[in-house]
This record gives sequence, C-alpha cells and structure tokens, in this order.
Amino acid sequence: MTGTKAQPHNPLAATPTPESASVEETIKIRIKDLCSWYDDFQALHNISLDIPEQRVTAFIGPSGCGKSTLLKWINRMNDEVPGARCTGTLDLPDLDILDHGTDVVSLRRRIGIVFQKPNPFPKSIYDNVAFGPRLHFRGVSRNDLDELVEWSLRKAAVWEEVKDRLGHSALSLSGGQQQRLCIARAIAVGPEVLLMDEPCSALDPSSTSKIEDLIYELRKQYSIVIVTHNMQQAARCSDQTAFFFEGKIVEAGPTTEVFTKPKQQQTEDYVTGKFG
Amino acid sequence: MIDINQIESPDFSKLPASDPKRRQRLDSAFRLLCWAITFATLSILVVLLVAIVSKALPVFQPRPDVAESQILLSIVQGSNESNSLDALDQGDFLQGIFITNEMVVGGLFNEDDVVFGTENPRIGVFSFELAQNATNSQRFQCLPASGINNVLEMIKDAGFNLDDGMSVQAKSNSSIAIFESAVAFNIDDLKGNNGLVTDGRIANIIDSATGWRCPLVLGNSQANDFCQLDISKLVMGDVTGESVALKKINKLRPRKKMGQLSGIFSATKNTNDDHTFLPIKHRSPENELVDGHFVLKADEGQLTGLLKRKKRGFQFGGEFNLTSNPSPDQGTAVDHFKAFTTQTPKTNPSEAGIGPALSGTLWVCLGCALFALPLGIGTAICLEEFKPKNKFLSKLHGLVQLNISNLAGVPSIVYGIVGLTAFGTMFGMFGSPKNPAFEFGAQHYFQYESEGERILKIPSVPGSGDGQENWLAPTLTQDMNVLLGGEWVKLNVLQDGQDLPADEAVLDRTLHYQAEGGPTSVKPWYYLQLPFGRGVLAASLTLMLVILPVIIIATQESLRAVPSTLRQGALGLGSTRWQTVRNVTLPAAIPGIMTGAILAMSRAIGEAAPIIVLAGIVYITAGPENLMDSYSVLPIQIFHWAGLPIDNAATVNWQHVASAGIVVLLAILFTFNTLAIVIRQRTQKPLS
Repeated sequence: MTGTKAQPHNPLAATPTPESASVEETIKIRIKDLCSWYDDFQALHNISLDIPEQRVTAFIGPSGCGKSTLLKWINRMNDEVPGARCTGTLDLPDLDILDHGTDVVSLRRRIGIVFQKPNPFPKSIYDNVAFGPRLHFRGVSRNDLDELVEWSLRKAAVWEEVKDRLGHSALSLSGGQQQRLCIARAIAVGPEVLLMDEPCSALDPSSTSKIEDLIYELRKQYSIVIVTHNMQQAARCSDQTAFFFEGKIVEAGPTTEVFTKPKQQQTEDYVTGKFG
Repeated sequence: MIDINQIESPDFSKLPASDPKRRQRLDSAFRLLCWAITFATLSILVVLLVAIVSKALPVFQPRPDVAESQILLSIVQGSNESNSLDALDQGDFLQGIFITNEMVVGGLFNEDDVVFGTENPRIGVFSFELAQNATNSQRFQCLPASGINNVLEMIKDAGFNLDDGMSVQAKSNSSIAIFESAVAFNIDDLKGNNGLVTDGRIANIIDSATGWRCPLVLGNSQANDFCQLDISKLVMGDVTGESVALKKINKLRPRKKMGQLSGIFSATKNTNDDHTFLPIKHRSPENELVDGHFVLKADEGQLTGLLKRKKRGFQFGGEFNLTSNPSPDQGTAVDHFKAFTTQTPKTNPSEAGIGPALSGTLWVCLGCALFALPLGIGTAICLEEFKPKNKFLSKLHGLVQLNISNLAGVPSIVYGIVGLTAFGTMFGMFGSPKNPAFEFGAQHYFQYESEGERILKIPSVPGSGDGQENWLAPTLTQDMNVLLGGEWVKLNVLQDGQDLPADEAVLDRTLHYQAEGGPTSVKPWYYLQLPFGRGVLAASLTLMLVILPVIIIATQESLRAVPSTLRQGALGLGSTRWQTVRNVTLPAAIPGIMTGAILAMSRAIGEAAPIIVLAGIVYITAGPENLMDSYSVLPIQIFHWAGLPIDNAATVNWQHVASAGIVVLLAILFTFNTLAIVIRQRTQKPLS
C-alpha cells in the first residue's frame, strides 16, 4: 500500500463506485432503538441504523442533532461523559457493545476514533503511532514495531512527509499532517471500524482533500463512520448517509439517493442548504 | 412584523462628544500610576534586602579581635621541673593536671556514655567560681572528703542562700529536667526552681536574688536522659600553682569499664585574675587512642599528647601540647561564610553558626518531600483523573475538593498542634516519647574492657523498668556471644583467683566475672520508635500536612491544563484510565507539578510556626543523626537570635547573626524559586 495518491480516482464522483454497487453489503454494526440521555436531556430518540462493512457511512445534520452522540456510543467514548446513559441495542456481529460487561479497552482497539481537532500526543511522531501497539501488544520487537509504524504511516498517506523526522515532535507537523498522523495512530492497533468526528473541520481545503482521498482508500479495509457538517464531503466520500435532526434519523440510505432524490422534504431542505 | 426602517434613529450628533485627549490623558496617568506602584514595590524590596544584607555583613567580615593560632601549653616531660605532668587513674576516668606559671590545665578522659558521679565523688580538689564578673568573684575549693555539704556550706558562707531558690538544672536534648546527680554533690539539696538554663548543654547554679551564678556547667551525654558533668569550664587545681591534693582520692578500685576514649579538658590562663577558659571536649570515634597518641579536637583548639597504657589505666608521657586553633577571623568573607554555615550556635554571637540548623532543615525538608510529594501528587491525580460518576461519590468528591482548598488557608501553627498530638505523642497510645512502646533499629549493648584491653560489647537484657532502665546489664556467662571489634566471639569468664590466660587472643575476650560495663546503644539513621517524639520524622510529617494542600492544588491545576483532547485521544486508542494518566496526562503536566512542588517545598523550608510547637530547640550542637533525633531548623534559629538583647558595643551582635541567618535562608529560597522557574522554562512544551 504505497502512494495512495497514485491510484487514480475521482473524489468528486457523487455516483457510487462500481464495487460498492455490486458487492453485497454485510452489516458491521447494527443499531436498534437506541435512545440516549445526558442527565435529563434526551439526545437520541429510537435510532435504528445498520452500518455496512467496508463502506463509508456519513452522519449529517445540524449542530446538536445527536450525530456525534451516536458516534461516541459506538466505541463507548460516552462512558467518560458524566450523566450519559442509553437504552437499546448497539451490536457488532459478535459483541453487544452497550453491555455492561463489555471490555471498553478491547472494544476501542476494534473501533478506533479520530477526533475533530488533531490531537497528537506531545511526543515524537514515532511514539505517537507506536502508542497504541505498545498498549495492546506485549513484547513487540523493535523491528516489528518499526514495520508497524511505517505501515500505518504509509496507510495514512503521511509516510513520505515524515519518514526523515520520525523522532521529531508530532506537534511540529502541520494541521493536515497531524490529522493524518492521528489516523495512522488509530489504524496502528488494527481496528475494524474507524469513527471520524468531523475530521476535517479544523483543516484547510487542501488538507481536507488529502484526508478525503485517504478515507476513500481506507474504506477498502475498514468500516468507516464519519460525522460531517460539510455536505459536499458527505457526498464525495460516503456510500451511505444518515440525516439526523433533533435526535432522530430523518432519512438514511445510499448517499446518491439522499442527495439527489431525498424522500423527506426536510432532508431536501438540508442538503440543498435551505436550512442548517 | 415591524419594519425596522421605521424605527427612528437617534440623533448621534446631539449626544455630547467625549474628549479624546482627556481619555488619553487618563490613560497615560493610569500607566504612570502603575509604574510608580511597581517602582515603589521594587524599592521597598531592595531597601529590605539591603537592610538585611548590610546587617549581616559584620558576620562575614574580619573582626578586630583577631587571635592567632598559638601554642598555649607545651610540656616535654622532665624538661622543666616546675611543670608537673601527671595522670591519675580514677577508675572510670583518667584525670590529668598540669600547672605552669601561666596556665592551669586540667581535665578528664572518660568513657563514652558513662555518667559521672552517680556513685562516689571522685574528683580530688576542685574549685569553682561564683562570679558576676571578673572583679567580683569568689573562688571555692572543695575536698572530696567533705563532699557536697562542704560545697554547700561554702556557698552559704559566701552569702548565697541556697534555700532561697538555688538550683541546678540541666537541659537534656529535648526537655528540661532537674539535674539530680552531679559530681560531688547531691543536687537534691539544691533542688529549686530558679535555675536558668542558658545553654542546651550548660546549666548554671543561680541565685535568683542576686543573679550571681556559678559557671559550673553540666552537660548531657549522648543518651538523652543522662546528664554528665561537663568540666570544660571547671577550674581544676589551685591556680596559684600549689600542689594539689589529688592523690588522696587515688584509692578507688579501678574497674574494667572502658569504652571509647574521650576527653574533656579545660585550660585556664592565669593572668591577673582574669581567667579565660579553653574548653576542649570531644567524644567521637576519631578520638580513639592510636598507638598511645591522642588528639582531642575542639572548635577552640586541640590537645595532643602521648598516653601510655599501664596495667591500670593510663599515664601521660612525652610531649603534651595544648594549641588554640587559628581564629576564623583570619579568613576571607568566604571563610567566614563557611564558618557561619558549619559552626554550632554558640553563646558568643561572633562565633555562632547555623550548622546544626542547616542540617536539621535538610533532614526535615527531605523527609517532608519524601512524604508530601507522592501523597500530594497521588491525591491530585485521584481527585482530578478518577472523578467518580456515582452521584453520592461525586458529592463526596466535591466536599473533599472544597476542604482541600480550605486546608490551604489554615494557619500553620494549627498544624503544629495537630502534628504534636498525632505524630509527637500519638495521643499517648504508645507510652511517652521518652519511654516508647515500640522501638525498631536500635541495638542496646553493655560495653566492657576485656583483660586484653579490648572493647567488648554484649547485647543488653530487656528489663521491666522505664526508658533506659528497660535495658539491663547481661549476666556474664562462659562462652556467651560477645562483639569484639565487629565480630562475634565467645566470652571467657575469669573467676576469682584464676590466672589470666596466656594466649592473647583469649585474653582479648576475657572478662572478670564481676566486670562492670556501661550501657550504650547504636541508633542507625532509620531508627524508629512509637510515638515519634519531637524528632525529625514528626516535623517532616507535620510540614507535610502544611504543604499537602498546596501541592495537591498545584498538581490539580496543571493536570487541568492538559487539554482534554489528549485524554480522549489516549482513551480512544484503548488506554485504560491509568494508562492515560501514566503515558499522556502526567508527562504533560510534570513541568507544572514540579514547579508547584518546589514552591511548596520552599514554603516548608521557611515555615517556623509548626516547628516552634513541635521542637523549638535553639541550642543544639549537632545535626540530627536519625529520624527520631532532635533538631533545629533555620527559621527557628533566626527567630531565637532575633529576640536576644542587642549589645551595641560588640562588633557582632545577635541581630547581625540573625540577619546572616536570614540571608542564608533567603539564598536557599531564591535558589529553589529560580530552580522552579528554570524547570518550567526548560520543560514546558506546547501540548497541542
């Protein structure tokens, strides 16, 4: 997997790629009747949604509509929020995510997350990527770790830019590079699902474009869930889109349908920019 | 819907315009005021500093009364018949007296840890002064045959009414106690309550009505509860040079009860009734007799000579020299500074130093740091990073948080009382500090001198009494284990009428069955007792209480300053809470924590109030040697000096010494604060 940029594709293509149309979708995450509260405020109402494997699912909707809340339930990041609770089911094929006994540490290894703001640790680039593997794999040899770091950085399309300064502080990188480093850090532990919470909102257009290319490539291996405020971005890089409004899913379906033939008036208003 | 165009706009031109010049004038006036205040603050600071430093200067400057190192007395045996050189074995100690026309030197060698005078009076003639000043003094002589009553009679004859509140008190390391057995007199007769303790190791007989006092001094021995006659200021012999009736008492049976060699000597210059004393007293392993040569070192001078062992005791021989040390006044400011930081707090301001206080400060603060840092940082991490989600627990969390902030404002003297009851006496649960219920690390021995003139140590037997009486002399039995020079050997007991063994190795471990030993104990630095008493450990723990809230709050602040995105990043990668703290949060917060901790430590160094409650010893001649040892700290030392009366005639008076102490304390604090700043500058990295 070298030079992801070398593979030609058109990120602006709104039509689904041939493979996603032809290959039968398997469901990676099944969400059923999920309700969520922050103390007394109900943030999600009866959410039911299937997230397919090796596809990009985009959550769109105005601020405060609950899309980030849902994302954070998927790898239980909401555990850290005081007063957050939920009911309903949220399953991987072999695991009940919301079950009290679920080990969140190994869950988060399987379901990685990339945040809105690039948040590399104030350590070297190498140590940032090696952080996860060091937690989850015991007694990794230096060589294996080196290979893993290189693979992750290549996969995240940032290797060429940082290969000569792996020992430098990660904070010396530009915002876009930092975000790709965070993606590399997330995939270095071998997750099955990648959650991205508005990964480009803090980046400039050219960095955004690089990340989008990357997402497009990564979907071949991971199931990706992306939360975005950028309609074009959702249209460009997702296969499936769910439109949230006030804690409910108004419409969910293949991205092309949601954007070109929305069934709900509200969706149409939102995707065409009449409100939101 | 209201058409906003219909809302009438106010006529701005009619509103009175403010004067931009006036605003700017106010602005510059305010800026000027700020600068003036800053300048005033700085100048006050500078004035304070200059005042303190200038007051401290005399301590670090050469003084006019410079004395050179000089040989006070040198006797080569037999070279001058007018000199007498003699040594008398008094059983438990060795006494020597040397008289020349200019000088009387007298003194004792004794064993360590042996209390003088618990039994018979053994010193031949001694005289002492009851003096207010040099011209108004009376000299008394005392013969052992008449003993204490004689002394008392003489004191009474001289017009001092003993019943009228004359007393002898001795101050042991940590408490004032009536001194009950001194060399030649039964102090029960002297018991009263007007004794003035002027020195941690010196007691005076004082007449409360006249203020006259006898410089007969008492000191305490190594063991806290013991008092030992310190004859460093006792004039022995007749100053006029007449022969001394020493031999009269040389009838006592010498006993095998020898320990380390230590010596107490005093020399008196005999010039025009003006007696200056040169006390040389020292007990330390380095004074052990090597090949018959001894060197007794003291701050003021040293005594060297040859000491021959005889069958019974010693004899002086060869050259005998008494030399005064070069006065520190000779040195540069640096030498004076060194002397000041190493000397003990003497009774003379120009000689006083902060050595023990400095070492005490070091011990106490090191102990404090060892306890306070892990506890404080741990608590802060717990409070900040492991916040409970449970409603009840988070209420509790809030309560604890609030209380920690409150504790930071509690006056430190309160902590002193808390420390005294909780650590010093432990609510009386484990007996008294003097008679601890639990001891760890101390080894109690009785030491003897064997027939082969080697020191034997035998572990003491636990008794039923209090304190020192807890440990009794062992019964000597054949083949029991004894320590000989650090090795365990079998004891050989010699019965009456039995001949000494010929083999020297056996002789070395042979004791007469009636041999008497003296108690001694070895206390390593980690010696522990319950309750802690007024020692270093209690002070460390109390200062820990004082600075814990400061450390906790500082640590919490710096943990809070770590962006939560970093925490989420680590958690999102599957770290546990602890891994997140360990790998991400704590490394990022360390600069802030270090800064806070160092500033808290500098508060601990400067803290006096709790220590006043806990210890409050100002005269102490040595720094602490174990965690239970008594100590003094810099602020206490300064506090004490600052309160002493000023003698304006003196080149160096107590105020100067106090200022010099402040300068040293300030230097330490500035160093700490600078260190904190440097660490913050060096290690603080951007976090996002």
